[in-house]
This record gives sequence, C-alpha cells and structure tokens, in this order.
Amino acid sequence: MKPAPFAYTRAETVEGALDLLAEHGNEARVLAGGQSLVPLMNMRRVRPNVVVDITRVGGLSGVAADDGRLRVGALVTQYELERRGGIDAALAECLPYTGHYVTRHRGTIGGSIAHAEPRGELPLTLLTLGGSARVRSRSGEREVPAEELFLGAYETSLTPDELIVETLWPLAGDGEGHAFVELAQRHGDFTLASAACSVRVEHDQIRSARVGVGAVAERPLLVPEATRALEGATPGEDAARCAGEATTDAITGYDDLHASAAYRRRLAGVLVAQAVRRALERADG
Amino acid sequence: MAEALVTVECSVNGARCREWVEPRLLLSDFLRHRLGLTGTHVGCEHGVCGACTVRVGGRPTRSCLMFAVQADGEEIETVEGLAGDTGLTPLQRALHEAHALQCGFCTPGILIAAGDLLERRPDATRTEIKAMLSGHLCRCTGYKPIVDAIELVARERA
Repeated sequence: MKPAPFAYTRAETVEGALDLLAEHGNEARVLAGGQSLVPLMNMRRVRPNVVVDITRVGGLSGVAADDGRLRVGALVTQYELERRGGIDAALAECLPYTGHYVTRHRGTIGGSIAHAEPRGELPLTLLTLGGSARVRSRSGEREVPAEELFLGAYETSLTPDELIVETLWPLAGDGEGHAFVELAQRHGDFTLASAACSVRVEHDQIRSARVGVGAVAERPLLVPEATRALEGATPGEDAARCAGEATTDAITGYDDLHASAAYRRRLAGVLVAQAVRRALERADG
Repeated sequence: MAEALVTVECSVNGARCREWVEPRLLLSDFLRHRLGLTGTHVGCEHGVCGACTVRVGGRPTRSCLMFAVQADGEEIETVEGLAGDTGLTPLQRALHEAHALQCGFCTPGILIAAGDLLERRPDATRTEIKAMLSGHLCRCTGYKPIVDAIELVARERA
C-alpha cells in the first residue's frame, strides 16, 4: 500500500495554488488535511500526477460570524471548529462524527466539502442548512450553493482549476432550530445513515423546514416530502413522526455489507424524526 | 512521471535531520526506514488502525496519511521520545500497571494519542477516552484496561 509516484508542489498563497491548478488541471489533486485523499492514494484508487499541497497557504484558517452565517476558512480543521465555542448546534453535533480524534486534528472543513463523500457529515449538514462554498480560480470567484455543489459520489460541480477558499454555514436565528444525528457501528466509522434538520417556528406553527439525509444515496439528499409534512404543522411529536415516515417512503437506500436498503430507509426515518424533534426544541428555546 | 527528489528537514524527538526523499514516501516509512525509529508501527496504511500515530507540530497525526515532505520544517514526536532519563512517563507506567498491553503493537499510537488528549483535556471523562480510543485498534486487551490506565492518569492529575 504505497502511493504511485507523483510530482509534489507546495503553494504558499491562494494565488500560487490557483496558478498550479490552472497549469495542471485534471492531472492535479489538492492536498489539504489528506485524511481522505492519502488513503485513496495509498490504495492507488487515486493516482494524481501532481499534488498541490495547500496546507501552508495563509489566510484560509479564519472563522467568523458574518451577516447570519459562519464563515469557515478552508483549512480550519474539524477538531479546531469542534472545540470552538458558540458554533451552530447542527455543526457542533456533526463534527465529532467526521472521523477519529487523531484524524480530526488534520482533516479540514474545506477538504471534507470538496471530497464529497456520500456518507460525509459535513456535506449533509451544509446542504440541509442551505450553506454554500466560496470558490476561486484564476478567472474569478463565485459562491456555489450546496444544492448545486454535490453531484454524485466524490463528485462536485467545481472545475479542476477551482479551489474552495471558505464555506458558509447559516446560523439559527430567532425561532429557528438546527440539529444533526447519525448512527455508526463504531464512533468515527463511516455512518449507516445520518439526518439533519433546520426549522423555523412562528406562533406555534412550523413556517419552514429543511430535512436532509446522508449515506442513503450517492450524495446527501434533501427530502422535500418531509418538508411538506412539516410546513404548516404544529410543532410536536406528530410532526416529527410524520417527517420520519415521509422520509422512509421517499428514499430508496442501497444494500451493502453493513445494512440492507430496507434497514437504511427505516433508520433514515427514525433519525429524521430525532433530528426534527431536537431542532423543534431548539426553535422553541 | 519521473519524480524529482525533494528535501525534508525536520526535528524528530529533538534531533535535527535532513534527508532527500521521493515525494510519495509516507512519513511512517520515513521514520522507520530512514531514521530507524521502528517504535512507530504500521498496521493498515489507510488511517484506520491508529498504530502509526505520532505528533507533528504538536498535533496528533496518522503518519501513514502524511507524506514525509510535508513534515519539512516541523517538530515530530514519536514514542521513542516519551521516556526520558527519569524512566517511564506516568501514562506508560499506568499502562504497565493496568495490564493495558499484551503484544504491544497498538501501544505506541495509543501512548501518543492518549498523551495528546490528556494534555488538551486533563480532566477527560471515560466517555471522551473511549471516543478517542475508537480510532485505535487493539486485538489483545478488549480495551477496558487501556481505558482504565488513561483514566487513572487523568484522575491523578485532576
């Protein structure tokens, strides 16, 4: 298990990284924390000709609340963000699941989003909260909503010359609640299924809701059927249960060694109900 | 594609070293084969077993998930650097006392990761210790004595 040969380049600035990506395009892979890329390289499932190491690029390690959103620099690690007080409840709940204690000290937020692992906690949370990624290339800068970012397993809508420089996470405002739950066989392992929820409650009525599920398809999914079950309903156990049932009915799931499609569909429904319950409690608080 | 050799200059357990390496050389192989520091064990080589855990720049790190060239300019701590002239560290002693190792393959990674946890979270709870240990495979002990040993050190410090 040794990686195939590659040429190593180290960028010191964002501009330097963008130049290298423009030059090497599809031949290159960006190396940030390396906690997903290096295992794939060790197994030779990924064999880039050029590795662009961005770990020393300055200016990508900041975290700041700005206009109702948390801006997180691409190189902020999962552990750094998790230990920081006052972050969003769903984000705080998902971060400990993103890997093991040691890997979370290297794994980055930008890298987890760019890697687009179908079972990934951060892609699901970004999608459900309605967040986005700010990406740059030599030809400019754009903000990509999570809904347009994740195309399939390990596949995003970014072009090979684009680099995620930060991700933007909507914060819960008045009357809003966010939550994330998941089940894995062992802490830090890949999840069997996960769920996230964002709700807004006004005058004892659910005004808006977003529900997402992870690890049941080739990318994280929003569940509009669950949103329809929630919007207009009275916050409470019935609403949570209906959202869960709507999710189980709406998704297909898949079979693998660890769980059948039927089990995943049922589990996703149970987790959605839990996430909705918890988000509603927070919206109430 | 031909690989140009690159230099890596770093400090390992306080000793400076400078080597030419292929970019694809993993830090784990660099430590073991170039520097002869075979205390860092290599189990799975894809970040799952935790045996190769070291600290790089003060951060616990899977040395099989980092290229040696990335450690250029960094300070690296391996299991060989733990015990000083005064003998075993409290954590090493506690593992010994609690019968927390048998074959010892997982022990170097656990010593580094648990030492790091206790440094950051001196009053770590049993739950936190178990969550941290989920990233370290031990096939001998059943984990309980390892949790006991780490908890013992945490309680002694508290």
